[in-house]
Amino acid sequence: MKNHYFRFLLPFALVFTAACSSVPAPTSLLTQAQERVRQAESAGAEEAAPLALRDAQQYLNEAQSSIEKDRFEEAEQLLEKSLISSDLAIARTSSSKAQKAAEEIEKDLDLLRREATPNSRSTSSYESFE
Amino acid sequence: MRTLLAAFIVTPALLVAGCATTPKENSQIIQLQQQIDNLDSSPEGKQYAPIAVREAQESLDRLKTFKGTAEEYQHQLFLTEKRIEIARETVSQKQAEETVASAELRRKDILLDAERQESARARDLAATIAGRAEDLERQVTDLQAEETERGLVLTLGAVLFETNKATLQSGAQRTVQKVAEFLNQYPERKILIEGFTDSQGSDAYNQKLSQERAQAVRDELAKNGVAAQRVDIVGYGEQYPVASNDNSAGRQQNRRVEIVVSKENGADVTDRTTMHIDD
Repeated sequence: MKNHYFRFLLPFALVFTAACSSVPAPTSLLTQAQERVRQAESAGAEEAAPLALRDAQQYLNEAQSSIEKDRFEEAEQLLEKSLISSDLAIARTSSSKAQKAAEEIEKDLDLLRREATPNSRSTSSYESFE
Repeated sequence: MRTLLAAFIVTPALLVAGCATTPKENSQIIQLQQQIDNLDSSPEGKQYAPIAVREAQESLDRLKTFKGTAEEYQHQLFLTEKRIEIARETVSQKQAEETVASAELRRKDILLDAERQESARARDLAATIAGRAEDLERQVTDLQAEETERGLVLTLGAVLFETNKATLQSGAQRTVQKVAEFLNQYPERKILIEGFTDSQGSDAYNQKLSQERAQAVRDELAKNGVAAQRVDIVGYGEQYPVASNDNSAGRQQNRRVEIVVSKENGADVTDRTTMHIDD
């Protein structure tokens, strides 16, 4: 509910304050940062990179409250921090996925290597020649 | 004139230096640079994440020449540290991805190795089989006769003979006896005994050895009632191999004596060489 209210008011707040501030409101950066957090979440960062994701969410929240207080310069920095933290969360998630796959592969190859070693076979195949 | 020029250059420089934050070539920057340098240098000098590493490097370069407030500097430092971390994650991601991508190749390598081991095993197996075949051949009761254009061909393995010798082994005599019984059922047929060797040794030696072996079989047959005058012999040496001379099992197959029984009563067995010309 609060969020809905915020979203409704935000454009007005931005338009009014933009006129008086030397720094324009970081609207597109805010959208980017929100989008990037969602991207990290859907990539599975909650599990693979919880710390980086939490940083990203926290910086985003702080940026939103800075915008509410017309502190656009501060908000911009916080949004940049949020964005880079989301990027890190995504990178970490991708890396951990790739590493898990690589581990699986290594396990498979080890198994194959063991299976392919002929030591375990019996000599019973000779019997057919008798 | 020169001092005036110097004053013109130095004074603004001093003024600028006074306003700007001095370049941050401190230990922190050096440490970050080391982190970047250690990021992406695999032993093969391959770059796994060139873009991410370049972004981190550019970020650090901006920091090195940063002019601005201390607060802004701290912010850029934060971003640079994160970019280095991202680059590090990207490098390990790419390395892991390469492991996954190369898996098929490595799987094939393992199978190839296994096959190589298998063929070593196959050679052992072949040697064992060859030994067993030797035993079996000594105990042979049914002669393996093959119908060919030239007539009926009985192949006697080299196990009849000791290596490099033309004398029949004791166990071989029973085999030859069986052959003699068979041949005596067709007293009108002509017989050609062909001797062969493997490729080891000189051609002349092998030719002689093969001839002598054919001779030894003829002698043994004669002892068993096969008249020597109906039997021709020929030594082909290492010619006409029936198997590869590259391995012992193959060579053993090539060391052999073939007994060809003519198709027609009284007719000579067609010579192998003529056969080839006719072909």
